[in-house]
Order: sequence, then structure tokens, then C-alpha cells
Amino acid sequence: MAQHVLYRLLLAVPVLFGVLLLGFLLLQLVPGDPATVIAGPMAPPAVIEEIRRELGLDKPVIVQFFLYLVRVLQGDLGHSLISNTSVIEELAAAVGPTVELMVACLVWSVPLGIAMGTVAAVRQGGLLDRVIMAFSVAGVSMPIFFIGLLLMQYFGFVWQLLPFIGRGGPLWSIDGLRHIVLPAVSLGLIFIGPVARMTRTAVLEVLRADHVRTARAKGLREKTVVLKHALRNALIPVVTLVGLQAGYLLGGAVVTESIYSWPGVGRLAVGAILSSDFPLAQGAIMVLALAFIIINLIVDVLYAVLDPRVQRS
Amino acid sequence: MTQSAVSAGSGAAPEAPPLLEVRDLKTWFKTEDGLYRAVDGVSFAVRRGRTLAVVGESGCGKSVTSLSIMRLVPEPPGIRAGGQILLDGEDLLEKSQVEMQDIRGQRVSMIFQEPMTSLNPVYRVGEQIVEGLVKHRGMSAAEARAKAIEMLGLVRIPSPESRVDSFPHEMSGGMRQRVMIAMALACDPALLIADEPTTALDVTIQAQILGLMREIQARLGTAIILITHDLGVVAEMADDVVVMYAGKVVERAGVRALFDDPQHPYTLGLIDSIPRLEEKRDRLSTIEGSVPHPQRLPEGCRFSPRCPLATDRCRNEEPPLRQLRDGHEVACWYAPIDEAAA
Repeated sequence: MAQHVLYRLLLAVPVLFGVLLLGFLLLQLVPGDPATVIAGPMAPPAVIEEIRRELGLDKPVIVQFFLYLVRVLQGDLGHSLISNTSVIEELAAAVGPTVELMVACLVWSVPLGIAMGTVAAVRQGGLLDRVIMAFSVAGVSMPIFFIGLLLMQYFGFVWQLLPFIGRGGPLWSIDGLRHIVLPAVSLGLIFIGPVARMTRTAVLEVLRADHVRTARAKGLREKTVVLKHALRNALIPVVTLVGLQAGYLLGGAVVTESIYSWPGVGRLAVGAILSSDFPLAQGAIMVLALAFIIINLIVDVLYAVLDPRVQRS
Repeated sequence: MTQSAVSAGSGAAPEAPPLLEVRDLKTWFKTEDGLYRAVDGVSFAVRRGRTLAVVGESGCGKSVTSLSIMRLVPEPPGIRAGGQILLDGEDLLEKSQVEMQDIRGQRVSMIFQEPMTSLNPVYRVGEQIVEGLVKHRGMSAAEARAKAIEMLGLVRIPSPESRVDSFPHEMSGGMRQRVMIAMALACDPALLIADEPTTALDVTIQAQILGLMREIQARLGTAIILITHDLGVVAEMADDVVVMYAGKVVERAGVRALFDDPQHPYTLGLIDSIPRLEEKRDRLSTIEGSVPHPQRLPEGCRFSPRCPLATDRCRNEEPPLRQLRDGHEVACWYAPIDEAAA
């Protein structure tokens, strides 16, 4: 198991390199010039030229990337062009809220999605199955910003039940909890559909398996058959799906954080890209990529826990 | 009819009521293409401590018959279209699924053809044996585990104390089938249904598993219904035999009578297609044609399109199962057959 984790961690190195390179190249394509940003719109061309030389922006792109890579390897992600604070500090402050949001989202949406999918599978073809599947399709089809805006409009603005701007403090405080409800619900709603659908498919398939027939032949209660012998096995593909959807979740987090002014990495990334703050944008992208890798690592470990056949390979 | 079925086979034991009696069982399936009469009026009886073999080609309804006894046929699409399945006089077809949960695994157990997929891959084999003991016998976890180890020993799994914690993928097919047998017999059922228990196994392992089943039967007195297409297995294991064709019983006899004096042309064909060492033949004899599609069953005798003896009567009128002599019944207009003609 430890070996397996180590192997996956090693694989993360080329992935991170690729993300850095792609992010770097994409940022070159974004309109906006960092030197102009720093100097301000009214600065004379000579000043802008000077700043450009200082930042190394006059060198060829490939050289710039190499220099950046060397600094990253030394643990230096540079300074924000806007606030001049260290990128690492900015990121460190934003990671906590993002992790909070992810956990708050997964903690309700994955179990509920699994429960809904299981019920739908057991009641296949029935009314409950159709209602659940319609709900899942709606969840998958609606863009997250739309769900977010709807929730914000009604629960926040019209009925004034919950706050909808920013973070209210640590999660263990009442205010912190109240603030996270709407973002976590918005983000979870897009996640619940795929989980419910996958669970339904997987449970239906396992229910037809030989070993489920054996479980029934033993005289076990139907509840035991479904929960112990079908669901446990069905969770294996569901967990895989959750891993695959991690990118989806991170993308959703970027949008959710922006809508609700949640002070996380996603909002930081969007702000940095919009203001051509290249070092900060690069750093944020790197953190999001790392999050993706870590989620998949957790999924791998879970996978081995759920399926004893995996541990050997 | 009941009594004649019971007195079949070797030995003239006093007529105790049979443990299980299947009477005119009809299990149909309603599919989009129409009605599928998988089992269509099957009757047989199993005596305590004896082995009844149910023989036939794939698709003849023998597996559906066994699943019907366990009430494991999914409904829908399955339909209980008629008949009775009497276990100690109680009709299993009248039971609710919840009532059946107390019968399955406790009074009637079943093992299946595919040992590789019949155990749950994510639980240790001990855990899978323990479940039934906890449910049916109300044992504590520790008692059930001790019993599971005892059962693994009974089915001759080496070092059962450590094997009890193995996962199925850590075992061979033969070992897994032993685990299945241990699991099925853990609660000491009166009847074990074995659906092609050795078909998926190597020949040497087959012999071991069959030997094991016989030995356990002798020790525990379990009655066995052995579902198989292999007449070699029948000869080795069975006391009584039921031959099925296209959802019907075509012949029923004691095992000696069946092999010495087969009466139905289908049974004859089956016996003829067994390869024999002492005969020199270039080709094995086969039964021409194949089992009819369940939705396009022929008129009259269902075997008539493949039968070398079939006449117009066979193609128009379905022959009933009738008694030729004590304990030997056959559904053919031309029985007893003159064997020379066949």
C-alpha cells in the first residue's frame, strides 16, 4: 500500500510539470501585459520597457519558463504584481477556505447521492426511481452559476435565511457554518447527479451478480443483501467516479467561490487572471492541480480499502 | 403418483413421506417477446438423505426448477404459474419472501455452478460463512467463527484457522466451491440443491468435490438435488434420476433402471453420446438438432422434431408421463421401446 502511494506521488511530478508549462503558455495568450499593469495605464513607454526588462519579460518565452521553473523548485513562487505580497502567503491564506468548501460539499453530496442512487436501483422503474433520476439530470444539466444565483436570490436575498457573501469564520463557529451552507449546497448539487446515476447503475449491475444470488440463497434479509452485498461492491466504481469528477469539482469551486465571494484559491485564480497578475495566477493554478492530484490519491487509497483484490498489484 | 416416485431407485426402504415434493411445477417468464414456459409441469420427490439428479441439456429448465424451489426466480419477469413445492408438507410457493428467508440457508441451501463468481469478492470467506449462522442460529460472532472454521475443516480446506480470513481471490476454484459447500451446510439444512457444482472445475477437482459431497451426505444425512448435464456425475452420485427436456419431465427412474433400461428416446440419445473407452468409434453419436426455442415449442411431443422414432401421433399429441413399472415413468407413446429398433 505504502509503495502504491509512493508510486502515485512520483507520478504527480510530471503531471505538475505539465500543468505549470500549460498554465504558463496559456497565460501568455491572455490579453494584458503585466508591465503595463504595474506601471499603470498612463505610464510612458520607456518606463514600461524598463519594468519589462526587470521582470525578465523581454526574454524569449521558453527562457522565461525555465527561469520560473528554477525559482519554483527553490520554493519561490514570486510576488503578486498587484499587492506585492508573496504568492505563497496569498495561497496559504486561500487554501484553508477552499478545502473547507470542498469538504462541506462532499460531506453531504456524496452520501446523499449514493443513498439516492441505491434507492433508485432498488425501486428500478418505479416512481421514486424516476423522480430521483429526473432530479439528477436536472442537477447535471444546470450550470453551477445558475444554481448558485437561484439559491442566493431566494435563500439569501428574498427570504433572508442565510448569508451569501464571504466566509463567516472557522467552521466550528455558528457564523462560519451559516456562511458555508449556500456555497456548499450549490457546489454539491452539481455533484449529486453524477454520483446518484453512477450508484444506480453500479447497484443494478451488482444486484444481478452471482454472489448476490448466493447472499439471497443464504436467507439473508433483503436489506442486508442490498446494503452489505450489493452497495459495498457498487461503491468501487462510484469512488472511481468521484476521483474522475475531482476536476469538475475544482472547476465548480472556482465558479462557486467567485459567486459567493468565498476567499479561496478559485476566486484568487480568477481575480489574478482578470488582472494579469501572472505569478499569482500561476501559483493558484499549481495549487488547484495539486488538489486534483491529492484527491485522486485519496481515491486510490479508498479504492484499495474497498476492494481487497487491488492491494496486491 | 407420489408414492410411485418415492419408491423409485435402489433398495426398498419403508415409505417415509418425501422431504421435498414438487408437484406439477410451472414457472413461466413473461418477456417482451411473449410467454416463455421454462418449467412446464414438472413433478418429482426427494427423500431424506438421498440424491436426486435432474438431468438435461442447457435450456431444459433444470436451473429454473432449482431456483423455483429456493424461490429465487425474480418476479417479474418470472410467474408462478402453478403447482406445489412441498417441503415437509409446507408449500413453498405459498410463502412470502420474508418467510422464505428463514427457509433458505437453514432448511434448504444451494450451491452454484460458478465458484469463481459466487462468493462476494470484498468479504473474507469466514465472514460469508458466519452471516448465515448469525442470522439463522443466533450465534455470537465468536461462536459463529468457530463453527465456520469447523465447517472449513469438514470440507477439507487445509489450515482452516488461517483460511477463514482469506479473501475469495486468494483461493482456487476448487477451494471456493468447498467454501460454498461449507457455507451451504453450515446451518445443517435437510436439503442441498447443487446446480452443476462441478461443471466449472477441472476433472480431478470434480472428483474430489463429488467425493466430498457424498461423504458429507453420509455424515450429515443431507438430501441432495443434483442438477447436471453430465451422466457420468449422475451414475456416480444419484439414487434417483429425473430427465428433463424443454421444461418437462420425460423420464423418471432409479439410477440403475435408467442406465440399464432407458425408455425415452431422448434418454437413450443422452446415454449414447457418452464416450466409451471400450468402443472404437471415429465420431461420438449425437442427438440431431437442438433444444426448441421456448417460444416456438413444437406441437405434440416436444422432442418429436429430433426423435428418430417420431410419428404423426407424436407430432400432434403430447404424451403424458406414465408408469411403465414400479418407479419407472416415461413420457413417450412408444415406450417400452424395443431397444434393437432404436
